[in-house]
Amino acid sequence: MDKIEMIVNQLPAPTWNRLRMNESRVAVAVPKDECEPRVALQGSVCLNKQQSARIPGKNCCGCEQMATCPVSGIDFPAMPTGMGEAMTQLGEGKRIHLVADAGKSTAAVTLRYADGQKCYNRLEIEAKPGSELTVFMTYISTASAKGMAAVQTKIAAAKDAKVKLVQVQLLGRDFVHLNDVGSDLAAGASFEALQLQLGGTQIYNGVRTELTGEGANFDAAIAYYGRHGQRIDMNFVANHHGKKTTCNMTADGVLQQGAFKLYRGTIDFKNGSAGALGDEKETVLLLSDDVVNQSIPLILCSEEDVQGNHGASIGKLDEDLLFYMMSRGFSESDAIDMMAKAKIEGLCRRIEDEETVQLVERYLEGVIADGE
Amino acid sequence: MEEKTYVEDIDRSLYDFRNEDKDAYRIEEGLTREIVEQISREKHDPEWMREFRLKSLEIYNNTPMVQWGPSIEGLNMDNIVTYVRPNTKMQGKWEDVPDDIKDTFERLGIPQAEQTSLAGVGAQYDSELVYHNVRKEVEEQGVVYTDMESALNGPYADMVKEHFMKLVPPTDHKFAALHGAVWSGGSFVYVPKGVKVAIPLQSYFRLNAKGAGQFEHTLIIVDEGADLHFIEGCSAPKYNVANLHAGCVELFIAKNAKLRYSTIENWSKNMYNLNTKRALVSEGGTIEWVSGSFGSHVSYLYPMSVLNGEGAHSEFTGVTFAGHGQNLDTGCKVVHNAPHTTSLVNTRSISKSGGISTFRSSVVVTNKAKHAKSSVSCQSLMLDNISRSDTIPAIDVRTADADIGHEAKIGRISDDAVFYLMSRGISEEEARAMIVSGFADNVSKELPLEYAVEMNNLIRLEMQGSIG
Amino acid sequence: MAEELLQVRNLQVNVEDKQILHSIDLDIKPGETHVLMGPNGAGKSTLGYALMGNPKYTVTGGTIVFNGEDITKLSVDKRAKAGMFLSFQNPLEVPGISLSSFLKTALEQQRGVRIKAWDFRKELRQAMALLQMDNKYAERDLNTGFSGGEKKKAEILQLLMLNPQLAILDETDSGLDVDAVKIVSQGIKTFQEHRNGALLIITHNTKILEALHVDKTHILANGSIIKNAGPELVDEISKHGFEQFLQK
Repeated sequence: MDKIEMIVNQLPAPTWNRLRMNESRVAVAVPKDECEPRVALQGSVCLNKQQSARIPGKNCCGCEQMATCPVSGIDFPAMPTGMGEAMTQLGEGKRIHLVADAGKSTAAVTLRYADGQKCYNRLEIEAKPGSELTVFMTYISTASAKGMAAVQTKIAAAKDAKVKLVQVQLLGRDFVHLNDVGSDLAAGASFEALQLQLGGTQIYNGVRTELTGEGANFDAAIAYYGRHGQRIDMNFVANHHGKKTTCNMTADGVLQQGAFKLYRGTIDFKNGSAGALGDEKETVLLLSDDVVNQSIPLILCSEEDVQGNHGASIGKLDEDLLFYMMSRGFSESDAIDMMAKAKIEGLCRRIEDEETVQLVERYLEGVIADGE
Repeated sequence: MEEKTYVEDIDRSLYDFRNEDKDAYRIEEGLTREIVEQISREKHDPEWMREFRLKSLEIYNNTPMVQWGPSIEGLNMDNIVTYVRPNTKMQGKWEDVPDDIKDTFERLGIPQAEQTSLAGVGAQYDSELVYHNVRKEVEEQGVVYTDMESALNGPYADMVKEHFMKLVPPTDHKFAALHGAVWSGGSFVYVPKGVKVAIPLQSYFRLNAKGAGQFEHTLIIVDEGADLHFIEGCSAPKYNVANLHAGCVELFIAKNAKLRYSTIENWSKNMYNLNTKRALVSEGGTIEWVSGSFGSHVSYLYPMSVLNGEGAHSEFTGVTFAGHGQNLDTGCKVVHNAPHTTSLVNTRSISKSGGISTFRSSVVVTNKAKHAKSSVSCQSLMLDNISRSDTIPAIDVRTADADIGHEAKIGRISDDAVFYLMSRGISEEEARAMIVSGFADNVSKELPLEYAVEMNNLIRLEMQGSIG
Repeated sequence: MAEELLQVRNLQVNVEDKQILHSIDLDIKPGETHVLMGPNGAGKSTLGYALMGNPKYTVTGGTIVFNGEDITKLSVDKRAKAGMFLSFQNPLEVPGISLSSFLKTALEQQRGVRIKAWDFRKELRQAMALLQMDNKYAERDLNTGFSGGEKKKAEILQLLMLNPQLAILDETDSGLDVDAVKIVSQGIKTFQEHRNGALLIITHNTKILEALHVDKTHILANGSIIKNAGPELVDEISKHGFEQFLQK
């Protein structure tokens, strides 16, 4: 009844339909619940009161007057995202608008879901010239909770702004998670997206970045641990428009227990992106025989003076590496376990926030304590 | 300026010459049940084939056009002549082939190559073979190399019926259905158990008629432990209306057998090349594809290897050069469907003068393919910023015990390399041509010498006039 | 006479279907240092891998006895826990696991108890100082992006931390500059003298041996040990090469 069928994560250049990688169809419940995120701000970042009034935290925009934040000229609704238009159409959603002024700041946005909640949240981030903003987003629920967590995050980074977005998903096993990101980068701006997908049953994750200005840089890393029949469906797109723009995308994961994973990663060198560099690397460790791994890494190019690279390595643990580790006294299963966790830990190390990392560690310990 | 004129002269004299098809039998344009039935009558099909054609036509009419890949809007089936029979029977001696046709193949160097380096030759002109001959010693080994029409009615009729369009059924895609309905010509090869054919067989396909289609069917069965190298060549003169090539190649490789299938495709740049090639490889067998795509206006070409027996192996080595007005969508497909199967894919694409080249692939590893190994490497070269090069590789793995690697690279000719060559007194144009030839040497290294030379000449032709 | 630490008898090893080692006999007592030399392709690395138990190297005959126990069929991790160590010629990169957490976990595996972070760090720092390794390496992913020399140092660091009874060093000196050879050799010497560790040093370079005490020397050629001798053989080989032995 109250279900919407969405077409999400469309591949920028389609291929054979029978491979079922061109796009994904997902039927989700209409998000009706209000989910109030907890927001904590530090430094010269503020919540735009006109957009959202009731959230505690710092409410100025580097200026004394509250409620006088200049309304940005950025057309956030029109900004494209990785999951696509269907996600923007999902509903009004609860909106938060962050504005970062020059200087260093951090924002921690925690979305805690109760059992049965079906929520849609939007976060708009405006990074002013020269600002340096880190945003930690944590999605969390109890282990047995069911529900839907849909979140759309859009980032407009002005000249030389640096935005780091850390998204950590630690939802219960029966959660549907729709995580959609879009960004637009002006000259010299950089955007680092670190994502950890650990919980949930169906995970749709899209990240799209427009490298508009000269020298803009996009760095995306995702790590996942697919278990007990999870579906992890991803779509990463880096559109190089500006000269000398760079991107680096990595996806690192482990699959076991009937998990399904589809990774789409596209580097698109548009005409005019002379001097651009794009790199994409995917590694998948397959730990049981009932998993499905799909990968489709695209490089699209209509500019001569660019360099694009893609590498993928999919399979069980390399035999030589296994021998090396066992020669230091690790049993086979310990060595495999260690390498699997290393994928998550490798990403954790880039998070640079002790609290978040500890949260992840506790979550992982809980998962293992579950006796899986 | 002088150089450019010279190039065009070579180009024309090499491939772009045409004959008046004054005495040929042409069927009406378009595609209807009547036309298909008429082709069937003209070709004296057995009854099952007549039914097969009509069934295929039905499938064709009910199958939608592809939704991905280059546009084929310029191709209107109502304007395509699906059957053109040259005014001659198939001959076993070149001197019996009518002069204008013989002249065509002589200019393409086919009779000369037959004398020096081939075990057998088939030459197709429009819809029918005009020449077929196998060396005596090869025939004595029991190797069968004949045209499809003779095979359908000869001692191997049952073998043909058993295999024909079983690997590429008419339901596979729209142009496979079209092929099933109007196919004509092509070769049938059977290599008996344990027979190793030392030098290659070659079929050459020439499409001379304006606005026509060529739909040859190649069926090769390499029996247990046998070994064959088959070479396919194709070309056509350029017309200002669309021509269509929708051939079909089915290769059956038995236990421990090996087949190398080499192609240098140089259709004229008004050709829609919608060709389907597929190999079924049994236990311990090997298929090696060597593929150079230089011609055509639009190409859809993805030779597929189905590795169905334990330890079956496939290698695909390809180069695609898309120049002005060309949209070449090429690549390959591999299905690992048995334990210890292995595949290697190594391709190079070059885009120039507004040409579009797309590398498209799929590697599927089923749950049966324990210990499968696959390695895909594709490299693309952009020669200017008005061209386009896309890489669309798909991987689907359904067993944990697999080792799948993929790498793709895109870039341009390094200025340092050009400078280095120029510092040794080589002109810039020549330097760039040398670098591009070197880039494509994955394929030229795998070809017999004469064909490697031909391929490098094609690259050189494409590269000339590339500097301001 | 002390009991043998390692006793290899009539060892035959295949790689795929090809026999690489023919009838190898080798005895090493606790604390002894043996040098295994020989031309390229003689099978030196194969012997190291076979002793350590690499599944790609099939033992087709003979036995390996370590500390009185037949380990010929034992898996590699059990051999490591029993006190054997192999320093790899090309150490593998282990992305995602830092050198320090790798070593700490390995030590905990070996000892079967949790080790206090403080104690571990102290021990690690000391060993790293000895090898003149920057402390930062402890937090980098094991061998990942390390230069050739750094990888070799990281191997010796693991040797010092894991403290086995027998260490097989496979071409540990290859690809090192003069200063690095000195440092690595210092680390090996510490293992030799302060831990009473036994060594089987596989090399074709005598530089690394200059500062080390050597007990026995063996020459391996074409998969067989063609000469056993004392430390004097090292000098002889460094002066005259292998030729004279091969002709016999």
